[in-house]
Amino acid sequence: MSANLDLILRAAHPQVVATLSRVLGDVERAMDATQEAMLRAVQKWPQQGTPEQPVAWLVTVGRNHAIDQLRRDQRSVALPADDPAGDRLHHAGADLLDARDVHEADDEDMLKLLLTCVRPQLGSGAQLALMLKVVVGLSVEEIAQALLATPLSIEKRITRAKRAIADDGYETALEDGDLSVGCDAILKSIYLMFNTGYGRIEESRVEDSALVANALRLARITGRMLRRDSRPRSLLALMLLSAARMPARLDAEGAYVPLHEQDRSRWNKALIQEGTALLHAVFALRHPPYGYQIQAAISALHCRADHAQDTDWVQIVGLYDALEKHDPSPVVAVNRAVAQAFAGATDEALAALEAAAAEKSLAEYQPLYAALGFVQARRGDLAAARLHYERAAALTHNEAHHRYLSRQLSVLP
Amino acid sequence: MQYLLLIYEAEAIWESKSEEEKQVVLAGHGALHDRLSADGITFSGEPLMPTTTALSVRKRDGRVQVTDGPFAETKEALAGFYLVDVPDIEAALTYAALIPHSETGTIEVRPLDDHSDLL
Repeated sequence: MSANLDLILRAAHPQVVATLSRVLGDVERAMDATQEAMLRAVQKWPQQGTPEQPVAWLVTVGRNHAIDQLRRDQRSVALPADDPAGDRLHHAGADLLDARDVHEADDEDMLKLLLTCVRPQLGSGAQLALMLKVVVGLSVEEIAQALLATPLSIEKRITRAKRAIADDGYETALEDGDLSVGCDAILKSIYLMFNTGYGRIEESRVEDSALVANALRLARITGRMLRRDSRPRSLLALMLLSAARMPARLDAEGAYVPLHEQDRSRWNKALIQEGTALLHAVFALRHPPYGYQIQAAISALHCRADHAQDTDWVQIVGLYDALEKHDPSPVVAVNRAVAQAFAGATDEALAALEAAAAEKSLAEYQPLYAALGFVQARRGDLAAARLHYERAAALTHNEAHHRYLSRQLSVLP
Repeated sequence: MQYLLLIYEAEAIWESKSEEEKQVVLAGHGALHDRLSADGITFSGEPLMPTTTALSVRKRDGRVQVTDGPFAETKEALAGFYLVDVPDIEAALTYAALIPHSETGTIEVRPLDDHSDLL
C-alpha cells in the first residue's frame, strides 16, 4: 500500500466507523463493515484513483457490505422480530447516503462513538485500548506497542470491553448528563492517545503521527459538541501548544533536543496561534482552573518566549505550584523542579528531585535522572551529574534520547 | 457598492483535509486575490480561527456577560470573509463563486449598508 493511501485511510477511519455505527446501530458490525470497505479501497483505489469524497465512498461500500451480510444471516438464522439493528439496516438501505450526510452528521456520530468507548464500567486501560481499536483503527499489535503491553493482554482487554458495550448497546440518544460525565473519561483517553503518539519523537510533524493527528481531531470535535464546557478546549490548547514543538525535537544527527535548546524557528506558528487563542478564550470565561488549562498555560509561556533565556521561569514555577495543588503527582514535582533550576534555585531543585527519587513509582522514570544530571551539572557537581546521566541512559529505550544523553556524558570529565 | 462575502463551512471539512488538499484551497485564495487585483477591485479579507476560540459578549441590565459562543447550533460556521468593492451584485456573486469554499460550504453575499437613506 502506498504511504499516501495509508494516510488517507487512517485519517478517514474514525469518521467511517462513527457514521457506520449510527447507520448500522451496532459498533461491532460497523467495525467489520469498515474493515471490508478499507480492503476494497486498497484493491480499487490504486487503479481507479482516490474518490473525491473518500469517507462517503467508504461509508457507502461498508454499508452495502453490512446489508449483504445481514441478508445472508437472515437466510441462515431467522432474526428476532424486534431486532433494532436489522430494522435500521432496512431503512438505511432505502435512502442513499451522500457525501453531505456524512459531513453533517459527523461530529455527533463521533461523540456518540467516543461515549460508547468510555463506558464507566470499562476502566481507563480498557477505554483507551477500545478507543485506539475502534476509533483510530489500530491493530492489536500496534496498540500493544503503543501501550507497552503484550498483544495477548490487549486482545483480552478489547474482547472484554467489546462484550460490555455489546450488552449495553450503542448509544442512540445523547443526553446532556451523559456528556459531562463522559467528558473527563473521553478527554483522558484522548490525552493518553496524544501522549502515546507524542512520545515517539522521531515522528516530527503532526501529520506524521496518526495518534497525534487523531487526538487533535477528536478534541476539536468534543470541543465543538460541548460548547458550554471549557474542559475539551483546555485540553485542545494544551495539545496544540505541545504539538507545535514536534518539528524541533530532533537535531540533524537524530538526537533528542530538550526544550531549552530547541531551534524555535522550527516551531509550528499556526498551532501556537490557535492554541494561544483558545487558551485566552478559556481564561476569559473565568471557570475554576482545570488541570489541562494550567498545563496549557505553562506550554503557552514556553511558546511565547522567542529565546529560551526569555522564558518566564518564575511564573512557570508558580503554575506548577497550582498544578500540584490541583492534581499532585511525582511527575509534576519533577517538572516543577526543573523549572526551579532554570529560575536559578538549583539547590531547591536538587532537594525536590531527590525527594522524587525516593518515590517507588519513579524508580525507572528516565526524565527524573536526566533532570538530576542536568541540575547537578548546573551546580558544578560533575561526578554526580555523570552518575545520573548514566542511569538515565540505561533506562531509555529510545534511540534519540540515548544520543542526547550520550552527548551530555561526552562533555563531562 | 461594497459587499461582504461571508464564508460558511462545517469546520470538520477543513480539519479532515490533508496538507496537500489545504494547499489547494490556499492556492485557490491566491488565484482569487490575483483575479481581484487584475480586475482593479478594492478588497480585503481574513480567515477566522475555529469557533472553539470564540467568545460572546452581552450587556444585560448594565452588566457585561462573557460566554463562550457563538451559540447558533448550526453545523456550518463562519470561517472567514472578503470585503469587495464592486460595480454590481453580479460581480459580487461571480467573485463569491471563485472562493474555494463555495465547493464545500456556502458563501453568504451581503451588501454593506452605506447609510445613503440617511443622507
